[in-house]
Amino acid sequence: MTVIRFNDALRQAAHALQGLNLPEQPKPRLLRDVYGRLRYALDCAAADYPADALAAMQAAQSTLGAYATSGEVLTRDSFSFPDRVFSDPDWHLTRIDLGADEDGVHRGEALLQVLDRQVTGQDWLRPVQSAAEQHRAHRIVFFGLKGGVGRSTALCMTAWGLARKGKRVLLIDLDLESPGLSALILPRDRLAEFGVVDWLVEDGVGQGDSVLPRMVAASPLGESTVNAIRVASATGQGDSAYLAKLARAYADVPSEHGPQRLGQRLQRLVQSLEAQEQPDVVLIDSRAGLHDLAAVAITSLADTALLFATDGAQSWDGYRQLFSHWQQRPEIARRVRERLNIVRALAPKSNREAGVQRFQQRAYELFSETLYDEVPAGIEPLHDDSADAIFHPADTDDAAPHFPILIDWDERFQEFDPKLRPEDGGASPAQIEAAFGALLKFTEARVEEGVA
Amino acid sequence: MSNDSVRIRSAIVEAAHSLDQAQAIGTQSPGFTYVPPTHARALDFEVTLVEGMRGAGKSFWWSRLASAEHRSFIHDGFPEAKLPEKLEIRQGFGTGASTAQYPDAEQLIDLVDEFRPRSIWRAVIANHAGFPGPVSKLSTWKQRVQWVQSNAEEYALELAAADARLEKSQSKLLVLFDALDRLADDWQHIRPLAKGLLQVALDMRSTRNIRCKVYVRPDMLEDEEIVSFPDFVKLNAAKASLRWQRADLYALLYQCLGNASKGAEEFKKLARDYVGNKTARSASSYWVLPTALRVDEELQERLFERVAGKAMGSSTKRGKPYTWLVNHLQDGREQVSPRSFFAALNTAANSASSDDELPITYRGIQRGVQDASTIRVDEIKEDYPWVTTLMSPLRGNLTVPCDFGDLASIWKREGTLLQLETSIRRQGSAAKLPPQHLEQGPSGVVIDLESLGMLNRLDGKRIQMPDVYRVAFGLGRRGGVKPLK
Repeated sequence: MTVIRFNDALRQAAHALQGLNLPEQPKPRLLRDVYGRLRYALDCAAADYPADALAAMQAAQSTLGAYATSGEVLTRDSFSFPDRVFSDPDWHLTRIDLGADEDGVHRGEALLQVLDRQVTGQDWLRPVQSAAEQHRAHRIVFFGLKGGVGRSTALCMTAWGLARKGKRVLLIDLDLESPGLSALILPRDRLAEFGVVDWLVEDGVGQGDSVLPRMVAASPLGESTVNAIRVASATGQGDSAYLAKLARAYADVPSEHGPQRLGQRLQRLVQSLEAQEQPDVVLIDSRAGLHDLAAVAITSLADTALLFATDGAQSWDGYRQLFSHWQQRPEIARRVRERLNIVRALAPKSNREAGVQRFQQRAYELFSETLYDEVPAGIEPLHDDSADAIFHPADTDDAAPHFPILIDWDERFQEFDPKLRPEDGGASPAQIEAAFGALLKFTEARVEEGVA
Repeated sequence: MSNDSVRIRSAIVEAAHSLDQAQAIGTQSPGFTYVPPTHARALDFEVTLVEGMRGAGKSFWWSRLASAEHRSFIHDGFPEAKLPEKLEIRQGFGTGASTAQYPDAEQLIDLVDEFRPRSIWRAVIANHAGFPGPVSKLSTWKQRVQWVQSNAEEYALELAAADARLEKSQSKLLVLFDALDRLADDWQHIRPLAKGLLQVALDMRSTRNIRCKVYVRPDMLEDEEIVSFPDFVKLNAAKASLRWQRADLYALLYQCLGNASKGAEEFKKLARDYVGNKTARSASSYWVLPTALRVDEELQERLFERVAGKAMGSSTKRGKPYTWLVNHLQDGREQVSPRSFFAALNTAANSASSDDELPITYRGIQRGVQDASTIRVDEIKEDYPWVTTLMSPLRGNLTVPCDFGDLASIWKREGTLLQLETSIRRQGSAAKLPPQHLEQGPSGVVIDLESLGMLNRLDGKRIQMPDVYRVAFGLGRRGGVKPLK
């Protein structure tokens, strides 16, 4: 018998259900534990479910090799607080590709409620109910799969550009594991007393509020602009215990409504900072890569998430992994996709037009194959702006998430010190405009619009 | 609803109607004329071939150039077009003028049975150049063509004399030809007439002061039976194209709105917020669009926001009217004709309701784009009947982007190409422009569809169809998120 691997297990568990004679309701669900082991779950008492159907599910469950457990099919009887389990917000209606049969004929797919108990990564699937939220500033998250794509420089330029236009800018560094933004935009001696990491630790013991007023500093970058640029950096002044704090920063924190996860805590931090600083726009430097901090930033904090990419397999493959993760949960995909915007970083100037077009078309294919809606052939899609309207912008639609915002490669900005005046080797406003003009225009429009 | 909005709305409708009747010169205000910077070459006396897709403005220029009033406005408002001052312009063929100027399609069909096509067009030139000799006494086209065909030497002498007279008076003669697909009812007659015309147009370049200007669709210039004559290459290499950039379309719109009989003042009041009181210097009684609003897309967009709002919905995440409108009308070659552009705006203006604050709304634009798309598809079906044969088996059966194989297998299953070949063979030489690469099979007709702008390739590989055609032809869009059942 072939060894069942991680991917096969979910497929097989879903496929096995198809052959069984089960009652219409309740629909079987799947719970996947932190090891990837699968159990069926039924939102009813065991006694209310036909015994033969239960036995059949039990038998199917045991065929999953290393991904089976010795446990029985889960029912409400299996838990002391069944409501808490069955109404967990992490249940997601999930598409499972059933693969092909022995003759190579595709079996189609199944749609099941799945609860994924993961060690990390849950935050990629926890978009915030934005309606319930009361923040006024537009939040823009800067994300890259890898470092070194000019993300931090772009963030500085955006801050500078928006402040020049009279916007109050708040910059928050959530790149806790490589705290570097602050050095670029704030000299070490001007760092605030505390950093984001301090708030996370102090919040853990219930005194986060006390560090809030002492964790924001003014950037000298904002001295020549209409409005100030305020910065909440990852680390505070002269911190010698950063790693010890970081090691504790991500913990869930108890609260009266049960443990608060990292996502909820960061949400609270950003709201508190917004209340204190009253910014027009919040720029968030996200940690690079598929890390939980980035997940929180993109799925629960961002109004706009700028995804930095270069035209290489690494960018495309990485984003495809992330988008596919959302794609398998269509409800999540629908909520997240419109806030995304791809940024073509370090666009080479040689052969520019062909390069830009190729990038745009690749980005379109990536988005359309993972996050855009399928538009069935022969059905005239009515243009409609309601939330459940078909969302599939044309490949040439320049307002679409896949349509790249271009940042030209300019060596001037590779080792760029934004504090430097042009006469000392810094960049002039015209040079900044040339390289970052598209990004500035885009962000400015988003900020003008506020929060939808 | 503001009164200003209603008046600007009616100005949009007026402009759309005026431009829709390209040939009917009598009633059209010269103020509705705009010369995009890149079109100046198409007005150049020395440029003989001007190509443009359907709705790009071929007939527009054919009729406007022939009007002294319009020419004077172009001189005045668009000096960079360098239209020669002393220029006699005549119409050599088109739709809408009288048979005093040229033989119409009915007469042509008789003439082409009896005479060489070149003789017909030479007679037209002789008529416009005012040959004084015996030919001037003749009263019918048949007699004139007869004379030209049997008096080749006299014709050459008279032409040289006419050239000399023009030289002496420091004047020039330009004869305009348009609507070549209306030369006859069927292609078997159109082709020789068109070919003869291009040859005569080429011949005229040996004179100093007489030129032809032929407005033609690009596909005609790919028809071997029309262009296979010596030196066509020379003619073709020097041709001008009526291509419209996004800024040109909006500039045309603004130029028209500023001269509308109703709403012009209200529109100019808006425009002043962006360009101040300065307008381009103009001696004519018509308003001339300030240069900044001709080329500065950011300024154009801000002004358009006052007409149509900032977003295609509750947020710009669904697009911005200025770019959305043009984006959704673009074909696979990124071309939009002014006709499509104004058709969409016309619907948008007409569908506005009394509750709407602005002259047009994003919903109106969406509806307008659908209407414009229908018109565009009807035009393409009319011009290229084979497109219908190729497209109908795909309806409801294909989603794009797709691989070439997906497309080819449907055609194979349905026997589409065979059907097309049979029907073209049956019609013989009367068949309207068949796909040029049909003999290469499915990959050949895909090339033809690409050159019509109906298909394009993503990243050089997968096949995509722009929305302006996709929706009307019933193709779906491949997407990662399947509709929930």
